[in-house]
Amino acid sequence: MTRAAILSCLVIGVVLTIVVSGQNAAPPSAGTRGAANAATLPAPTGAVMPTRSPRNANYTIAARLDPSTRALTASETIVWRNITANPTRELQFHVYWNAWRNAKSTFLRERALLRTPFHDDEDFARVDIKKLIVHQRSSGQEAESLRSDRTAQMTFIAPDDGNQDDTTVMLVPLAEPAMPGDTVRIELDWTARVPKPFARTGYIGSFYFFAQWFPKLGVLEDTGWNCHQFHANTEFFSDFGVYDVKLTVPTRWRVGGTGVARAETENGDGTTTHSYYQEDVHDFAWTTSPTMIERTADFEPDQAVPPSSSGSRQGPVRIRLLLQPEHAPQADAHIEAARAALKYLSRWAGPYPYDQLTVIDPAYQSEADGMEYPTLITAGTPWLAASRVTINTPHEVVLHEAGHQFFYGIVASNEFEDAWMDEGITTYLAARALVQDHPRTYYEQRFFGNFVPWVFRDLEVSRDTYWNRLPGYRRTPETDLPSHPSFRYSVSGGRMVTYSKTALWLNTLERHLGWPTMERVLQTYFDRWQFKHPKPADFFAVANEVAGQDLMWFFDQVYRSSNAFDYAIDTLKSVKEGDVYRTDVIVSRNGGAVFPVDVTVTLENGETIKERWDGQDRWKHYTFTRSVRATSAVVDPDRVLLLDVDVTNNSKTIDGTAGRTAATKWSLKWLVWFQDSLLSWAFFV
Amino acid sequence: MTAWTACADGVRRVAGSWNLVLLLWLITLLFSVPLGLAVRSDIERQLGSSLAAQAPISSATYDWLSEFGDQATGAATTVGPTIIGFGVVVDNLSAFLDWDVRPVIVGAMGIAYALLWLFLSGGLIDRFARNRVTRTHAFFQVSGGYFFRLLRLSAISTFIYAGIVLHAHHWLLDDTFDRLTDNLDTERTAFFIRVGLYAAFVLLLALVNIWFDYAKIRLIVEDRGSVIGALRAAARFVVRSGFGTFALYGLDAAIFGAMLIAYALVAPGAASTWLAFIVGQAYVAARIAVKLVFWASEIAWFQGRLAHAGYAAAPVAVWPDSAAAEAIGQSLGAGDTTPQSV
Repeated sequence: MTRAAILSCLVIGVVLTIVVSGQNAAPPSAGTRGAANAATLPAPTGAVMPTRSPRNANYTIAARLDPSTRALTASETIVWRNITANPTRELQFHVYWNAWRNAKSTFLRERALLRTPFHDDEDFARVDIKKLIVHQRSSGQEAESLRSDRTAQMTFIAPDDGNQDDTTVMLVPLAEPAMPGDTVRIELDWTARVPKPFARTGYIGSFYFFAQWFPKLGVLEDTGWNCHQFHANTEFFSDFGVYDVKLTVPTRWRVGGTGVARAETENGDGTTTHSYYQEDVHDFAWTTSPTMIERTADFEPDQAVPPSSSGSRQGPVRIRLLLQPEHAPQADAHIEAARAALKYLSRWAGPYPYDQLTVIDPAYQSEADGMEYPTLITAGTPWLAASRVTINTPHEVVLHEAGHQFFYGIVASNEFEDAWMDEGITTYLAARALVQDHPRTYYEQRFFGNFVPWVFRDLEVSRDTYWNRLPGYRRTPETDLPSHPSFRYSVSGGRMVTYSKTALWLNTLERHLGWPTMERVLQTYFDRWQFKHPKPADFFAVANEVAGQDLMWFFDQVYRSSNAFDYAIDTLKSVKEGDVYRTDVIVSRNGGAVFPVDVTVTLENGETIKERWDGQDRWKHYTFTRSVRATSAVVDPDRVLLLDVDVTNNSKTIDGTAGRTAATKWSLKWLVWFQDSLLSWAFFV
Repeated sequence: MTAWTACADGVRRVAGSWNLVLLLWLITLLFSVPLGLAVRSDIERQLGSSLAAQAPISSATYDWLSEFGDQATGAATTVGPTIIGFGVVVDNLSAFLDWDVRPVIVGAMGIAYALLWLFLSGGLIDRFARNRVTRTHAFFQVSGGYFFRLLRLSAISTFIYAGIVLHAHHWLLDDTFDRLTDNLDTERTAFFIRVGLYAAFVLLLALVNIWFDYAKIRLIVEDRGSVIGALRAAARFVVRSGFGTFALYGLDAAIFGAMLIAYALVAPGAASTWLAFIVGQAYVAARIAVKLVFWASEIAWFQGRLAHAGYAAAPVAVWPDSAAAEAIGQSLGAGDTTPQSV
């Protein structure tokens, strides 16, 4: 949309033409297809052959949504196997929606530090478990040996902060310990109240999105249950299994969910049951709405890409896009980005083993945008979107969330404790993938209540800085210690560490090691830890092993320290002494963190002198004697250290007039802005 | 007289007073320079003699703009992508409609600038009303003569505008918008709701602006002593002159819109320095001219509807008020030579 066109709309006013049609869009007919994206692959099944994960937490759920009462009624069966080396006397469940039962939960108390939580009763949610029956079967036995009704024994615990009002972790004691290898089948009947949007779940208008909506087991590790409370700035962690989910919604409401839709059954009472199935996943999310339109497309892998070290190859993937009608013109952008994610991440990490990827374009105000679930992602795009790829068009968000399929979905690290392992790695790889197909991306700002975009065609944003989220990191680089559990990060600063700092240090590592080595690190890490739950030490070990060197000095700086990086050229002098020039360069380390850097001095005759500094001391003094004087000095000239919070001080020139010229130019531009602002005040005269 | 002819007459009156447009542009530029120099100094200090200064000379880099923005304080915090080209207008217009907070120094300078306009408005309105060249001393004499009356008038208008901005704007663009979009899942509909609420806000401002414009005109053109009287007279005029007054304001607003579109099409980007500045100053001058067209056309409309020779009684001749005239009068034995007002 050109600037003059946007401006014409604002000035002239196009109020009259589209309001009614936008609000009253008829539900689309089922199976709407874009002709250019017609899917040709065989129908996906949700099966994964061969079995990839332990499948020790399998869920069969039948849920019914009543939109008139915003109620969800469900019966659920969990078949869980103790795959640890130790017995357990209890089960621990996540009951995430209880975080919005009232304002006293840990989630809402933490969120209140940032903003006022909701107070209307209608905005809250709840999950009430009516019945919980446990069947236990010993390892090696065919039949279940013990059945016990545990409904009355359910209690809530707060292992993270002791908040007695928080009911997001439920403990159920077992009648007998579940020994290693034992299987426990849990039957639950429960109801839930669907909230107005909270943390990417809830309803707005006729759009529903369900995330973390069912009681879900935590992860039993050798050290005990890993089952954290729901915090404002963390995500989730669970075991792999098979999900077989039946969703009953009003007939003609479109449904999208994790996995593959296997059947649709009309029940004769105005409802239809949609059956979804997926193997080797650790979560299930779904959406429903009467107005979403559907597009499908196929991703065909590049056969020239060699198989992974475990021998598996990327197979074809069906891409299913569920889009808001008002975003129909952006369908191709979503599909293109999904294809790019599959193409690049399957090459850089490893194959995506599922046969479908569902992309949901969530409704306005649903707060469901920008999130990942196994085989299903939510994107998010504005109605008025630029034609170029900008910071607000859907390309990056689709790449990022689809990238999570690999790091979160397949390499299932603990998002409560080590959020950087999926968010940071995905941010780094999504940035890398974006610029493969779109080397030029633009800065955009939104105005008039955030509705109207203005693309700055002169301002390109780069992968290394913007897409790795340097601006977010630079403002508060020392807020949190990355090695702390993520749920203990500060509410305001956590994202900086998780997304920005991690992406920046990964990209720095790439520049330090070279991309071929970094790619092998990622491929080895993915191959070794897919369908498992790695910890930070596992990633560091792979990096050290593949790089063939001890990189812990680096990980200590970026992971075990909150110090900021800032190297600067403090002094540059080049003075004539007789027939020669003596050049003095003082390089300083202004930040607390340490990184080896190059220092380059350029002379008048074009010669460059390069030194390598280990960056340890607070400053380093170099002296050169040459027949010509120096013109400039730069520390880290190749910008290997992307974490440097002040790049302007990385260099100095002898003449130094450029700053004055640039200052004149930009202050003259600012003058016009200021005069325009003053004239706005003159309106009131 | 129709609204159309009044508008055309207003444009002619402003075109014939190009020196006033030039004066106002110069005043605006000089008013902005001190803070501009401060911003320049901040930028120069941040860039120092760094090689990083090269890129912002030839083009724009988001990296530098964003780094500077993180380190800037005061007025310099407004240095960002929105000072490039037509982004200026979009940013300021959006901030006006959304009533975004600006740095205190920018707001304070805005108020001082508005007072400067208030001072000059007496001379400007008088000049357009006389529709002939008035000498510099006469211009500033009238400006000074009416300043305190205009100040009293602006005290009332400030109170009303503040009420609109602080209360009506909040009620419309926050409370009402939130209520109307509470369960809305379509952004397009929300956008048009917001456009409608913007229109209501602007309409409210425009109605007050029209009322106070004619109050100023009646105050100066009819040399009224009472501000309240001028307000009452203005209200009567607006009501009685009917649709034409609003049509005229709409025509003037259309000229403003056309000017914005023209600037959008020609505004240079980030690469140029002096071309961008010159075109930017041409835009500023055009904005000033359009502001004057509002007044000049309203004066033409008022004079065409009401203050014509057949309506108003001829003024009583007044002995000039100067020491020399007084001395002459006394020597002639003219008696009481105290000047009398009409």
